[in-house]
Amino acid sequence: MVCGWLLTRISSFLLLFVDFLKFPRFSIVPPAHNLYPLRITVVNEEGEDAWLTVAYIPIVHQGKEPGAEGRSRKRRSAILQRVLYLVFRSAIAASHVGVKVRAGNRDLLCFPRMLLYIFDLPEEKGLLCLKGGKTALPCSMCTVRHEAAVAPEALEAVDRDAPHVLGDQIEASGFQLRKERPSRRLMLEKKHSAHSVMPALAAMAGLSTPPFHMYKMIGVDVLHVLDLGLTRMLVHGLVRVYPHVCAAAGCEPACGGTKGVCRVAIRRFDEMGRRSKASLSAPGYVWCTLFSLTEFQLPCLSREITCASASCMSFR
Amino acid sequence: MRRHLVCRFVEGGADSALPITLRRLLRSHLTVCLGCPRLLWCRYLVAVNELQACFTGEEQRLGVFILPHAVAKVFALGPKKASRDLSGSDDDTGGAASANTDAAEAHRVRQSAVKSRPSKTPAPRQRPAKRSAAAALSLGSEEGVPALSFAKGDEPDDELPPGFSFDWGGYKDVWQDTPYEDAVTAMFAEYAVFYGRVARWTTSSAPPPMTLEEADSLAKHAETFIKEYVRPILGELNTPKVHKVLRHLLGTIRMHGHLRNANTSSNEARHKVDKLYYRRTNKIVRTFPAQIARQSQGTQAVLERLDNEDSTTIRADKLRRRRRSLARGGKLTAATKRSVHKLPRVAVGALAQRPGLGRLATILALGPNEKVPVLGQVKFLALMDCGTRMLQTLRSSVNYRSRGAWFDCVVYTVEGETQVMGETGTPTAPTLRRGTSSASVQRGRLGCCLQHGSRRGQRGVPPRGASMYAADVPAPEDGDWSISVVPISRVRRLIHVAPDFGELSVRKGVKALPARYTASVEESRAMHYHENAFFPWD
Repeated sequence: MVCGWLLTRISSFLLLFVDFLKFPRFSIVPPAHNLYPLRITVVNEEGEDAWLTVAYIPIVHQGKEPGAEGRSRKRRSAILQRVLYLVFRSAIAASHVGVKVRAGNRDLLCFPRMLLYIFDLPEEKGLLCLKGGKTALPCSMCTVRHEAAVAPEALEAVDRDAPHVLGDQIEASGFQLRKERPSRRLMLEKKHSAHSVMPALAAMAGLSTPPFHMYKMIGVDVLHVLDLGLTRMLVHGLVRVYPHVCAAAGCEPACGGTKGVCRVAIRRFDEMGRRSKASLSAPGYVWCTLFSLTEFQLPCLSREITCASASCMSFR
Repeated sequence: MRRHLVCRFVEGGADSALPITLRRLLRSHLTVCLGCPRLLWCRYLVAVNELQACFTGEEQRLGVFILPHAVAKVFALGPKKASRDLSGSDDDTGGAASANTDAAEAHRVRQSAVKSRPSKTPAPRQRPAKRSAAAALSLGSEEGVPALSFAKGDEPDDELPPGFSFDWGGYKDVWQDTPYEDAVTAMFAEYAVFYGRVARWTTSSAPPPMTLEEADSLAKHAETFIKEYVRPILGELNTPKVHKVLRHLLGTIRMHGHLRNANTSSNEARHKVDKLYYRRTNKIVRTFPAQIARQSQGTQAVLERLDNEDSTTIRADKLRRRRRSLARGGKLTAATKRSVHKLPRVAVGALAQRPGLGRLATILALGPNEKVPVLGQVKFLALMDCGTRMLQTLRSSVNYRSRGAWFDCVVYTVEGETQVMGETGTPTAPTLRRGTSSASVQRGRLGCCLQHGSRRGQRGVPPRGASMYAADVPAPEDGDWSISVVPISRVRRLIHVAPDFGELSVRKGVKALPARYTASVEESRAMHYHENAFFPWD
């Protein structure tokens, strides 16, 4: 259905967004149900960008029996890939053979392409069928080793070769289905830090066919990479490293330890007003504006006072 | 997506005397009672063994431009350890052992809690994250790779690897004799600058357009930040997210254009809409996704149609008003005139009780019982440092924020300098308007002044060339604060002013707080402030 809607558009390019949605029973207990809303937008459609929710992907609950975690992970991954294929199957076919779209007085043959995926790290790994967590090759876009991920050598890391990785994934998934040659399958998995499953999106033209953009269409999401990633990591990392720094310098921590240091910083946050939304600390003063009588035609007032500012500063 | 508010018990600590269950219950009870968990738990910097509320992306974002001020001189190194020297032990090893206290303390408490359980009780099930970590560790050892510090998505990926020791030599190589606390401040300042560039924040000037040259410069900035700030100060943060910033920033901009195209904030905000309809489902696993789809998508389609009809009607109404106005000879209708009848009227005496306005009645030549209408905010056309014009709102509302009065600060030109002119060549035309027309007026403003300071900022610390200010407090016999009247046409733009916590720490200690409104004249004079160069203006 979604594909039908897409294929009626002249716009052939789409963005994909997968994210995790939790439905809490109450605000303080773990969520009751989880869903992945799958949203797309067509970038060369006229008008403002409108995200369309094309699917809700349910998340299988994890049981309590031994090995439940692994099984539920496989189920979740399988459902994700199947839903993706269901949603985009017509678009995938059209990406190879094209689809006729009427634009004005002309009939055009359009080839839909996937331009960008944006999501958090776990969804990224799930979508591309790569291994998450602590893996040898943690990056979905290049082949950097984890011990050099933030080292200067990372700048020289080679990008992932989509035909090579996908070819090995096809071979490994075949072994997985036929239950053959487990040692080779494991070797292939370790080689690319990838699962023995084929990603549904690999069927899209342009990703697994030239120009092989399978691993180049991943965006840097400011929300997850900076806000919930680097910003949080800097703060938390500092708190954790600080005792080690003091130890390396042979000094005692200031303010009676890490906890005291954090409290001082938190008090400053409070002083500066709810984490910097306001500047409540001194000088916070009243600022008045005098309005001319005639320009505002205020017959009953000689002046109007606008209290509008805290303090005024000489600018020299 | 709003991160759930359940506090994360990172590890038990010395202050965690209450059992975790009891504390959890206590917290939930307080949360329900007070209705706002932030009142108790919204803390940004917490020790390892303290509770940490989960912040949303917006809350993390709002901390970026304030962190350099909040951590100034805080993470200082204390006095040397005398006892270690007396015993003759090596500083590094002995210190390292004691430094691990914070991290190991919680582990010990947890272990003791486990040991104190009855022997028949089965061992607590290891958390999934821990188990996957253990599995990954084994995988890493198979491959001959030292496994460390990668985590799954929402899991905290900022834990230090076991056996971590700070590379003091590496720090000295980069920062030489710079004190650690100043390096920390510089790191957050640099991060705020970097983040502002990535997010295209308008701080003191408008961001440049995102070209390939700008993207290249941004990528180099990221590389410098990681190499010269993060690695020496925090050690190695081998996480995929940091790697993305270091390695793939330029490629992403080249492939997808502006990074704003890949920001999922607006999309995550749409989760709230879907959550509203969860209560209308039967909450059965097999059927509720279809019900969510029907309820949410169907209702949103109806609402969108109604919005479109409303906007069409409003547009037609505006057009009708404009035609009517033109038929009257172009005169403004009543809707475009600004009325003061609904403004609150406050006595001058009451206004004079606000901080710094003790001499208001004298300056205005009005009696204390005379009432004047008072506005809470004014919009005006600001002039940024780069010459960009920008509409800003000047606020002075006691009720603007729930936590107290909000007073903005402005920068203005003085006598002898060029006035801030509007686009039409007239003095700045603030949009004190109702309807569609703006009133171009010449106004004066009355406020308390700060003197332009001259204290020179250190390398990389928050000022970064920003203006320094000190309170302009006259002698006691001359009144409370220096007040002056300046035309609004001379107001350049709003600025965010932060107390100089670094100077305050040197003068009165790290725990000292800035001078209050009611502080003595001497204390007020001693306070220093500087412009927050990282503050983003909408």
